[in-house]
Formats: sequence, C-alpha cells, structure tokens
Amino acid sequence: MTQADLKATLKKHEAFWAREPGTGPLLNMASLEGRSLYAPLQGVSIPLADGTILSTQGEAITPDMINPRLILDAEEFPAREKSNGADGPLTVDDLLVTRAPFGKIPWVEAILGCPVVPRLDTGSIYSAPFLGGPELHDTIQSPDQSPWLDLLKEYTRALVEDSGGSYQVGQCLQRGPTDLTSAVLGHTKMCLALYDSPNELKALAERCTETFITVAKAQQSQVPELEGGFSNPFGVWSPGSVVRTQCDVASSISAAQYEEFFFLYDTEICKNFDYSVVHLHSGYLHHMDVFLKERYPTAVQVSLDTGSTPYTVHDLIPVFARVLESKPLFVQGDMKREELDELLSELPSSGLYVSPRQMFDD
Amino acid sequence: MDLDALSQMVVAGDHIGAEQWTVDALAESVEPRAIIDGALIPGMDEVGRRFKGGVYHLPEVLIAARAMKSSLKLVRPLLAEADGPRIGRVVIGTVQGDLHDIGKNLVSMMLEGAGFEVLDLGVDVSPEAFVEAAENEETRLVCLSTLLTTTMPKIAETVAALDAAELRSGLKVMVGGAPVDQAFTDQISADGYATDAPAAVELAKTLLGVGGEQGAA
Repeated sequence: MTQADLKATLKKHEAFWAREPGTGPLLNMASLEGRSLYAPLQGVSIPLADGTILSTQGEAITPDMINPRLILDAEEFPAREKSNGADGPLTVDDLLVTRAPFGKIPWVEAILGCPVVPRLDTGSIYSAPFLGGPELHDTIQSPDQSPWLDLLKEYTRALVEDSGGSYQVGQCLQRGPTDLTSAVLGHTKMCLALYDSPNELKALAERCTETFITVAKAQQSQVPELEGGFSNPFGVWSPGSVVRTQCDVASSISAAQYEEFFFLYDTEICKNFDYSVVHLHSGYLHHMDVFLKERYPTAVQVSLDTGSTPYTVHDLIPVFARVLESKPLFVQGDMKREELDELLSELPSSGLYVSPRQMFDD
Repeated sequence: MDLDALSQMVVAGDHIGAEQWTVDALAESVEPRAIIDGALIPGMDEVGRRFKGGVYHLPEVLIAARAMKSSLKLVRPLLAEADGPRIGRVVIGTVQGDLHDIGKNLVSMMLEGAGFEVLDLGVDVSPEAFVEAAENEETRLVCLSTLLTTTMPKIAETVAALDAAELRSGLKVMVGGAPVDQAFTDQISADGYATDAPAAVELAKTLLGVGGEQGAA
C-alpha cells in the first residue's frame, strides 16, 4: 500500500465517523470468501508456557500458564504471511486488517477476579461468577494488582512486535458494565439485585467500569499510533483513541432499567476515549433509543442474530435508518444477497459499515 | 382470606408478603389446593402475559417466581398425593458444555408456576444424565436448553440418546435457547421449540394435551 493509498483509506474512515455526505459505505466483503479480520482459535490447541498443550477440563487456568508468543505462533492468521510490514498497513476491502489479543480469554472478567475456566469439548473459555453479592464490590481487587492485566499488556506488545506494522492491533473483546456485573455475580443474582440491592449494584457497576477503562487504556498505551489514531476491532481507523463496549445482558432487562443502572457507566467509558462503539444484537434493540439521545456512544454496532430471534434485515431497516440520523452504524452478520442489497439501497451510505460474515443463497 | 391478594403479591414480586400471607392463610385453614389454583397459578399466568407483552422483563419474572416459590414451599408439603391430578413431571436442563442457566431457570419456574412438577438437572448436563432422569416413568416431558451455537449439537446428541434408550414413545422433547429455531427442531426430530418462557409453558401444555385449568401438586 502506497502512502497515498493509506491516506485515502484513512480519509474514508474519518469520513465514516463524521457521516460526511457523499461518502461510504465501508464494506468488508472479504469475509464472504471465508477470510476474517479476526483469527479465532476454534479447534486449535492452546500451547501453554510450560510447553504442554492445554488439557485441563473444568479447572481454572492462571496467567502464568499462558505464553502469548506461543499462542501467536499457533494461531491461524493468513494475513501475516502476506506482508512483513514493509509495504505498509494491510487492508481488506475498505478496512485495515486488525488483530486483537486472544479473544477466547475473558480478559476483564479475569482481571476483576473471575476464575477462567477452559472447556475443551466446546472450544470455549468462560469466566465463573465469584462475588457473593453486590455489597461486596469493595473486595474486588484493583486491576493493577492482577497478573491477568500484565499478561494482556504483554500479549498486546507481542502482537505489535509480530505485526511489524503490517496489521493493526486493536482492543481485546471487552464486555461492558452490564455484562461484567452479570459475570461477577451470575446473571440471576444480578437481575435480583436490581430490586434487592440497587445502590450496591450501581456501586459494583462503577467498580467494573473503572476496571474496564483501566484495561482499555493499558492496552492502547502499548499500541503505536497510526497517523495520530488507532484501528478498532472492526478494522476502522479513527483519528484519535477508540473504545468498544457492549451490554448483551441488557437484552434481559427493560430499557428503563438499563438506562438507570448501566447507561451512565457505558457513557463514562465512552467519555474516556475520542471515539466509541457500543455492540448490540439485532434481536434485542428495545433500548436503542437510550443510545441515540446523547453524544455517547459515538457509534452503534449491531450483530445480526440467527436462531429464534425474530427480526430480519428488512424489519431492521427503519431502526438502522434512525441510528444513521445521528451516529455511524456498523452492521455485521450472516445475510442473504438481497438483504445486503436492501441494506445498501435503503440506508444512507455515509456513516454505514456493512460486513456480511456469510452470504446465504435462497 | 383474599386469594387475589396473594396473586397480586406474586405479580408484584413480593416474596416476603407472599410467605407471610401463606403462613396466615394456612393458620386459618385455607385449603392448600385453593392457594395454588386460586392465587399462585393465576398470578404466574399474569406474569407470563406481562412478559409476553413486553411489560415485564427477566428481573420481574424472577422476583415473581421467587414470591410464588416462597408460598409454594409452605403449601406443597400439605398436599396429599391423591389431591388432584398432576399435570406431569418435567425434566429440564442446559445441555452439556453450556453453563448458561437463566433461560432454563425461567422456563423451570414458569412451568412450576403453571402446575408442572419440575426436576431441574441444572447446567452442563450430559445426554446420559437426561436419559437417566427420563427413565422415571412419571416423566412426560424433557426440556433441553442452550444459549451457545457451539453446544447445539449436544441437544441433537441428547435427543438421539433418548431415542436410543427407546424412551420417546411416552415422552415429549422440547428445545429452547437463542440459537434454536424451528428448522433445527425439525432437523433433530424434537417435538417442539419455544421462543420464550411463556411460550414454553403453552407448548408444554399442548404437547401433554392438558388445558390451563388443571391444578398442581
């Protein structure tokens, strides 16, 4: 990529954030060919620091068991083969190839104190609840005391070194305050706390928020700027710092409860960065209006759900149009060709990002 | 005593009030069956309606179920075995590899509130454990839950295990969870799937051929 090409790409991304008329959309059609901006470790053995392969089942792992370098070497990441960075940043379609620290580890949950437990039969690593109740929020350790944070920073540095300027390094998957309170308490206990211990629940959400921000900033501090900005996990560069948050558990509470208990904390996260994206699911957009009231988050991302959730792309067009009236919108997920065509024809192109992970034929 | 008052306590999620009301009612010789049929089931029915209508969300259903249980735990031991027919015994669990429990818990509580006898096997339940529980001749329905796409195959494995154990003739199998849909249900030859907890209760009643009027034990 020439310097002029890079400038043109970054200008396009800047226009995306500003929703400049006559620009966009940003497209990631490459995922249709089976390539991905991310490098999942599905089905790949996890090498441990002691030279063995992860083989525990249902027992917590600890940070000292993991060597980022070993996982980087084992991880499938085709883009790395194509460039050593000498040609400048790698791109896929309109996007910067961006890689984040190992997504299967629930980093922030671990830093908060959740046991991290691998399940080899399902290829997942989950965090277990550990806090007896929200009133115990003061007992949560400071993130600076967590060896998981040290590991995450080491992992981020290893990615930067491995990239050599070819791919960008982005924020690891960080769940927001709603999901984090649920993770440390357990979902049922969190829901009951809305009624039984509302003030303590808010204090816990605040504690989770502080940790979230510390973790996001710690990662960003390890990543060199690209033309004064950073790339996010969606491969979009922003002319400044950027953060992604999420609130999947808000799907099970009312919009009013989300706004009262958690929105201010998601907002606090967003305020700490120049650009911000909140991740939502298409099956649960009942709280969308909360995100459109004010400046933060500065963008919305919707993942298209499959399964029992009822909304088709066609159903969602009016919601997406409403988002685009005030903020950029990322749409990702499996879709049919005509659904992609409908998205592109019915929505304004400025501020729109579409990544069809998989295309289905009728 | 006013059964409607208890019903309202259930709808409002007042578990302390519901427990005290039940203690007082039993002291005044109110029939246990009347408490269930006249207050707890109608209360949970209303909760289901509000959930389906988007008025209630998960927390409201959870506190309502807690209120229902705070009463039911006092009433159930007083019911004689012969005190009316049971709707049926349901075995429920989240399939192997998946630790998500809230959807399963919700269905479990709503089924209990609707008068079913529920055996909750918990989360991360192996096909063998489902088969073992289903071998009890009183079991009429098995409910399999998952939230993860990665554990959907375990639903299919469990259904196959029930088939292999030749238990399907007298047994219905329901599936549920965000990634599950009708196509998947048909593919694995389950008897039905529901999109949410109230729909699961209705489907359970339909599959077992029971109406809404029957009582619980």
